Amino acid sequence: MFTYKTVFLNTIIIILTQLICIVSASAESKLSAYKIMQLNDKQRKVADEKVKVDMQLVNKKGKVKKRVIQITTQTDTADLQKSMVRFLEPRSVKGTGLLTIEYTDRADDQWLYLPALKRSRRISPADQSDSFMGTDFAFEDLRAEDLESFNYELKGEENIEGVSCYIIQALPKTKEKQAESGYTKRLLWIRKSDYIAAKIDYFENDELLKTFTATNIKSVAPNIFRAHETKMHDIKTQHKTLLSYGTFTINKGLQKNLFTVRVLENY
Amino acid sequence: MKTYLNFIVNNPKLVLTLVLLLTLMLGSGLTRLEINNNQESDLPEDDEIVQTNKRLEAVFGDKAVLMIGLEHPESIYNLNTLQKVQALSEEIKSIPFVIDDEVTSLSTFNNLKARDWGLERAPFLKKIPQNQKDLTQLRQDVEASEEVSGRLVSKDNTFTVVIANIEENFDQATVANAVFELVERFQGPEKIYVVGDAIQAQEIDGGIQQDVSVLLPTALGLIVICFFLCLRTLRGVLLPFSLVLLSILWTMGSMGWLGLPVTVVSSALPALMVAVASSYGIHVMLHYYDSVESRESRQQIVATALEKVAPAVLMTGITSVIGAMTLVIFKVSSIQEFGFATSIGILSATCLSLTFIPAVLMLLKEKKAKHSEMLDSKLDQALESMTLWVYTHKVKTLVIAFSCLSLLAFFGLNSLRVGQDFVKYFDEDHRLRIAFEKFNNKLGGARYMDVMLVGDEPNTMEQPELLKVVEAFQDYAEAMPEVGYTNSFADVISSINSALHDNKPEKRKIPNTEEEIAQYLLLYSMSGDPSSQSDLVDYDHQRVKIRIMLTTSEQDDHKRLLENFKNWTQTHVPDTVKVEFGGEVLFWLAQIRYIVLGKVQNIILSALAVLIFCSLIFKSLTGGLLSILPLTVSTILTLSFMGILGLRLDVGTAIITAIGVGIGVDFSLHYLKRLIAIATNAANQIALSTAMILTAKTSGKAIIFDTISNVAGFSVFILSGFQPLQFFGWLISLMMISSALGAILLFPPVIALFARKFIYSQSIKPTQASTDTHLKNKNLKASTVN
Repeated sequence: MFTYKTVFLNTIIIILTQLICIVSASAESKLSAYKIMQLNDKQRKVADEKVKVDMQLVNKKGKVKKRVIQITTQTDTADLQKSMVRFLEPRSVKGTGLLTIEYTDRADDQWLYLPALKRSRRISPADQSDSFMGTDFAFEDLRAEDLESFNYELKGEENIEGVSCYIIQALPKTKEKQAESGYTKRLLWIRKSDYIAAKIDYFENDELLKTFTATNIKSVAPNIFRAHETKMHDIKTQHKTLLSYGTFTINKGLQKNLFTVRVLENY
Repeated sequence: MKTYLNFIVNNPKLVLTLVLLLTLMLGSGLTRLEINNNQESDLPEDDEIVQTNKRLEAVFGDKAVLMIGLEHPESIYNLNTLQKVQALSEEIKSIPFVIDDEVTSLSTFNNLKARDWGLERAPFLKKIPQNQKDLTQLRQDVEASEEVSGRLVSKDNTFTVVIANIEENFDQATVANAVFELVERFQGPEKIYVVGDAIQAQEIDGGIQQDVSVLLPTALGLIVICFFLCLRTLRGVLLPFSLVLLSILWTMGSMGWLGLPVTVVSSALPALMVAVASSYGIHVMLHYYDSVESRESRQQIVATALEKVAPAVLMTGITSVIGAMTLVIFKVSSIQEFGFATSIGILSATCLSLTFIPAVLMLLKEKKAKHSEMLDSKLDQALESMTLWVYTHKVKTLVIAFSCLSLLAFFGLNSLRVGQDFVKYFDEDHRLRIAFEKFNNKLGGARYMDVMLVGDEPNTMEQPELLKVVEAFQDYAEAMPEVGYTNSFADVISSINSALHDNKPEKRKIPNTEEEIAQYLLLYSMSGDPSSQSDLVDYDHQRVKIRIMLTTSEQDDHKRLLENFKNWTQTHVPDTVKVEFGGEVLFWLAQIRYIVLGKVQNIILSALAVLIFCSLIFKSLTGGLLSILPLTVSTILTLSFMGILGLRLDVGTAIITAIGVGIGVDFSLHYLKRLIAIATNAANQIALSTAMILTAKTSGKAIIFDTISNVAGFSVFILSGFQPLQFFGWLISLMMISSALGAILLFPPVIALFARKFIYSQSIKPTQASTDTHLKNKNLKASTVN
């Protein structure tokens, strides 16, 4: 029987089902974006990793500065990282080192060793948004993703160099996080095949600041993939940093007490 | 000429229609008129300074500077002021064209300092101090830092500055408006002062607009009063007044069409046109009233007046254009453009006075002038007795004139100084001038010179020996009282060296090895992004820039400093390293150099041009020499007075002579033409002295009217907010008066002694002679001497 009551009920049911659809859809995408980022994180975090990197800094006019560094990192079970960066070239800065130790409850510890002074100095930790060693990479671009501090959302899919990628938008969850970071938004293209980021766009207030691209992505250890060529391009200054990675040594175990001031100074 | 005159007289309506059409066409160019105050466009592209500046810009970026100073009456170390510094440093980035990662202030400037726990590298004002201890710490840090104390914060702790680099292609109005809007919000209790390229440019342009809106109506008002005093009829006021308005419209409109911008210099043009066009109008009207006396038909009256006045108007118009066009020799583009624009203006006035005025007069019923008999006879008497005196005391007059002139020239020209200071463009209580004073007194200046050292290959500037030279140069420069401070890459290295050695002051120096420097640089590059360290050293460390802040705005000081710096670098910097000098102060120096050079060329050239032109017209060198006599006298007099009164030769005053030449020569030509006409008219049969008295009473009177209207017109420049324009007003008046006196007082003795033959050798056209008969009748009672 056709009554106002049934019309009313039907309307409510339709609205409700639609609402449920919307909610579940967004919940699903949230979950899957988060999941993708988790898988990406898993790729990046290994127990230990050592690699030689050729850096090329290129300015607007095409002038090039070359440096070679060696990066050694160790990640413990609590996901905290220790890292040692050592300059190998050019000759004038050979041996210069930076030791960083992460803590959960306080700011990182950093020590700098300048061979010309023959001693190390503890230095105030860099801000997340500070440049890493004078490159276009900020410290936050290089460290592991802090999954709980961002809201991830799947924005679509796109092929990059023939490989299908998820496009994921990352927004800082809190004002504090946003203030700490140099960005208000990131768009990440995560490859479906190996969960490595092939491209990242960094934004500040909807203005594109930098673009990261990764190529030559290969397996370097069982189930571990790494990009061997990466580029960070600063859109405003037109300055570029090109990183070319040598052989990755992953999960091969490191010597004990490697991440100490004594080792830093003993070069 | 005859056909032309007939055309005007017979087709007044057609002529007026054509004038109207042309006015509409040219006037529409007003919408295209632009105001330009870009310094660089003022100098020739191949100039050494322009070139060096271009190289500096190529290496260190195309940037202009914006400085916002905060002054607190007691101390800036309080919560409120520091919060403002922090907020300003952030909000200044929202100003259009500000390069947002190139803001320097307490809250961005990195303090590298050894602490108990290690090495700190963070901005001085990273967080607002919450207690007295932190506040004291901040003050101690600032006072201990040579890079900040006296540079970002005054030594007396009452003044601090936020500096931003802005893109060179900035829009000055946008920047200035945004800055002043920002300043408005932050004002009080702190006082805020702003300086910077965009601000200066906008203040000057704003001043131009303000000046024009004040000067022009005032000038017009004065002119109307002048016309009325001289002619005392409605048409005598309205016609020359319309001529003035139309000439301005034509000139400014043509500037719009030709793409000539309004600059500080050419903003004077409307007022200048008032003076020029009014003088043309007076001449035509005086001749018209002269003709009306003959009681002939309207057509005859206008034709006669036109026939008599047209040759003189054309001749003076052409000589004035020649005078103005000699300004083109100046290598400073704003003065060149002014020369062009003035020429257009004079041509407009010439053209309109021979078309527009007669055409209107043809449509009006002829009317006599209402002379004030008393004033006229008083003026006649004065002119007559003056002429008689100088004629009878020929030698005495010349000896007195020559000795006075020599004496003045000796003292005046010797003390004539060259140079300018754009800060002094403004009145003493102008906010920009006050701001400059503050920056000078508190922070070592807002004006600067740059020195660039260029090594022969990349990384040269990492060599300790070279950085030690840079350091020594800075020590040398800073020992000079006019130098506020200097700033260079060597300072950065020294301060890192000190911080890495527990802040030991004795370690504030360049280390001894290249390795140390390279490693310090790596540390330095770890703070800040990779492209922003380019302010003091270039990307591959081949070039360094030393910025020298100056507390003096005096160009003589700038010149001397530059000399000293050049000498020092020649003896101390190795030959493999090239040294270049640039910076805004040098730009102004270069401009002045061109002005002095252009000035000398200009005086000679314009005098020569007038000499040649007039010699050709009179077919006699004596005639040419006579023509330039009054203007030569007045040029020497004017320049001497400038020296004695301490007025300096700068962009504004430099224009005077060329304009003065053009207008000054009017007097010579009107006087000489009339004298020749009267003296050689066989029908008159009068002695030279009588002819001179008659000339004084006619042309001499016109010259006096001219001078009065010119001085009245030019005197409005004195109301200008810009000092060069004020001086311009004083000097052009002085020049006019001295030319008038030169013509009226020096022509009689000089001609009687040296040029009697020239006068009588000039043949006179019968038409002109015949029209002078009524004049003869009128003045027959004039006394005869000799």
